[in-house]
Amino acid sequence: MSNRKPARHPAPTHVAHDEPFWAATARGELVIKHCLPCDRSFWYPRPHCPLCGSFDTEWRAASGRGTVYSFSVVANAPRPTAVAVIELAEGPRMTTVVVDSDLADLRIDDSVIVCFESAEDDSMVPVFTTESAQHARSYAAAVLANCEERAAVHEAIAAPITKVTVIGAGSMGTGIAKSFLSNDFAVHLVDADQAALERALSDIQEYLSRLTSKREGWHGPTLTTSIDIDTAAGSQLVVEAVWEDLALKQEIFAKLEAVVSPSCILATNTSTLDINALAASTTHPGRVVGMHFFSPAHVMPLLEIVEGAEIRPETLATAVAVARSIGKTPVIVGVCPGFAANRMMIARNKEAEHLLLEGALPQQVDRVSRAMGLPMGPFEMLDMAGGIEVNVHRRRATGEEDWLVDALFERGRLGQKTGRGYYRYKPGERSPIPDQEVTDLILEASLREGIERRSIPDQEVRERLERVLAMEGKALLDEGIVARSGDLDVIWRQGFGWADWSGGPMYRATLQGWES
Amino acid sequence: MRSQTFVAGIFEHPTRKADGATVAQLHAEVALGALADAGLTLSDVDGYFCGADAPGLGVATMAEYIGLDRLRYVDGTESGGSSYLLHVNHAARAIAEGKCDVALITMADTPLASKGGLMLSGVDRSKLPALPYSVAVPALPMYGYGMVARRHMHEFGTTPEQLAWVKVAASQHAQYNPNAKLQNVVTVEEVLASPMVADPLHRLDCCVVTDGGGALVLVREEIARTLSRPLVRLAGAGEAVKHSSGGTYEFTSSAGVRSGADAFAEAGITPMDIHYASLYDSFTITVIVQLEDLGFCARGQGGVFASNGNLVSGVGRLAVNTDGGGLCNNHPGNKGGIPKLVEAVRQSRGEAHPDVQVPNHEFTLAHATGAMMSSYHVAGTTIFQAV
Repeated sequence: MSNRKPARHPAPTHVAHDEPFWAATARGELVIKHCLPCDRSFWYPRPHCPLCGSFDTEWRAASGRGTVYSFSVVANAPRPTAVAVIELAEGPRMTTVVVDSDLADLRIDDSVIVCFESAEDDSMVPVFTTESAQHARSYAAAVLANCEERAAVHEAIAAPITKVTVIGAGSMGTGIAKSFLSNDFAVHLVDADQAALERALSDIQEYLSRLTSKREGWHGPTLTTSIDIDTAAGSQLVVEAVWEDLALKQEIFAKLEAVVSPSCILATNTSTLDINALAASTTHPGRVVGMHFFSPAHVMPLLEIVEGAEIRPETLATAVAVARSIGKTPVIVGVCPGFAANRMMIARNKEAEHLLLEGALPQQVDRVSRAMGLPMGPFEMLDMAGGIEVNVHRRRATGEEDWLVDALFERGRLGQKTGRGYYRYKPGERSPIPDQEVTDLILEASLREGIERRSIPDQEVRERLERVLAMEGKALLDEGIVARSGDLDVIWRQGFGWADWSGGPMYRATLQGWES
Repeated sequence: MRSQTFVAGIFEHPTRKADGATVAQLHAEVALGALADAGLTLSDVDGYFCGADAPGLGVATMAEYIGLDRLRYVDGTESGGSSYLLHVNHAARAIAEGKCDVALITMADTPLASKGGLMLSGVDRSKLPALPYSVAVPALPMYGYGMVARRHMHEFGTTPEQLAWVKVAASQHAQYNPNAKLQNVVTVEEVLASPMVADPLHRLDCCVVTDGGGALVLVREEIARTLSRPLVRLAGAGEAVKHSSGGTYEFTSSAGVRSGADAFAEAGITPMDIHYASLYDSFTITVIVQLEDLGFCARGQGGVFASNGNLVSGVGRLAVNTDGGGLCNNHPGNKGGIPKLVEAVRQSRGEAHPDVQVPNHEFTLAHATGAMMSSYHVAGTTIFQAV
């Protein structure tokens, strides 16, 4: 998958004559054997020249550059992998693999460069990647560094934080508490429901004991809990992560304002509500900020810092600095429905659903999405995150119709948690299995919409998903929700695991020439 | 010198999944099956040939288990799927030189029943000299042949549809073979709609995996004429090796260019004289390359040749794999050489299924590519003549 570390390769057998080969790969260099009498290089290494029989051979540095002679893509590999024969610039052809590259775009004669990955015995093994993937990786690293540099500027006026209160002991609140605790912030966790609090407590304690056993001499900061919101008094930062209900959040903020000091920052983890409306209901709207974590909150590095209309600079600076000190990548975004990350994802998911009506199936859209560089496709993700149920609840409020999602919902297909969603799942397993019932429902949905289904080429699926992301990203930039195009690529990398070899949705748009 | 070697007996084991049977037992069953077909007995056999699928010490272990006690010539050549075509070539030389009179070739393996996977049994990969430099490379043959297919497409414009025609032709034949693992007729569309396993190869571009095996009995002419089976002479044979040559190789042609030329020269005929060929079909692309290598069509025209329906018996100019081939019928032990020989002999005898039997033909050809076309491989070609 995208940003996952590659599994270590099997250990190669070392022999006396090829010691220089492994010494070179350890330095990040590829060396090949050259025959002096016939003046030709050959692959693979051996003491004698297989072209003329001479033992008068020597090791020579190879450029590590070459072109693709042929390749075959490995289906369902854990990361993009093609078995390939590469013609080195020095002449010989070698059987190897091309990894972490855009294999849907790979062609014979494409330029590739060597890179090295570790084997089980710590030997470094040569593999190849495309020059275009390398370019995308450089870009991804540069926009991330730029984003972090700009965030660092805020630290000068950030207020010190020693006590953090998290309100809400659901899965997001628990993950947020873990994020702070693992980075040495004392946390006070509040939830009106004692049972929820106890579940969260045992989950967090198990997590902390795992960390304690991994970190020598680390005991972890203090964790306290309460069912009484008044115990938030004395905090410098409160992060609210309760159910998405504006009135509930307004009530909580009102209660908090009664007990905390005027300088305490009130952060909300809302992903859908209007932060300006929430801030307006408080007496000090300048201290309200959105801190939008991504699930699982203690794992995903993205933190959208949502800047409301009346926010004080110190509030914004403190939120950004706190994000950095808990190891997150803060990206400042403006207020709009879904903010940047989810707004793009919702647009992408709508297009994905439309592709289903036109002729695609979830497994095709998801396969193509993985080939684009995402760790999972939209339907796998919706199944994992309970997206079908969220979709139904959202439309109850708006009155919008969606026969297919309703049909899935009515059949109890809520995703992984019920073992069936866009796919079915074996008990206790997470790998999606295509399901005939879903296929039948999709066919019926097309019929109801009066859409004649057609076979949609992978390339079209990809282009449409990429185009809709690019268009939504462009709108976010035009509306001033996000400052830089690169920030959107950072958002997809840090929030959803978009692979570096593919750069990000805005990078892809630039490659396609869709800038306008 | 005119070959004096005749095929006296053939046997293809009917099993495709041999639960409960041992590999040695299957070797004995196919040996006795081929001897019965010839009208000979164990005590007639004085030459014995087997590959690394035979357990233990190969020829020695099998001679003891089967009960061959008059052996004076043995050969354990292993070259992957082409081993048995090489055995035929070697047996013919031994018979010609008077080293043996009745040569038995056996093959059997159980990759399904013994869960042996896609690797060849009896072949130790751990000491392969290239292995230390390719530990990151998945070693399955389908990726090697996927690369051959991709390069062929690049150089000659061969299409996935053209590759699919090889499978379509095989399935047309397999519907008449009650022992075939896959007996359903498939279309080009169905091949292209099957899951991609080693892009550009789909699942239906790949052969089946089966248990089983087969055997041949070769005898000198005088003996053949005392038996009651149709006379099939080995008219010519060839073998050749091609490999990566220190990294200077191309892989849009195989060693079949040279093994085929030798076999045709020995038989004194040309590809135009052949109307039935058993061609190794580990993958659809394997057939395309071999058609070109053996001279059945021009270089680069294999795809066009196949998609014009040429491989379908009764329709095309060259019926190929009328038993359904490795793609549909049988690929025992991941080595398809024996079924190739057996079906070519059936065609020479006129004993193929009536719906796929090629009428009035004198010569048939069997050809196999052992190991992997993209790294190193051994080709074997045999030409049979109905006498």
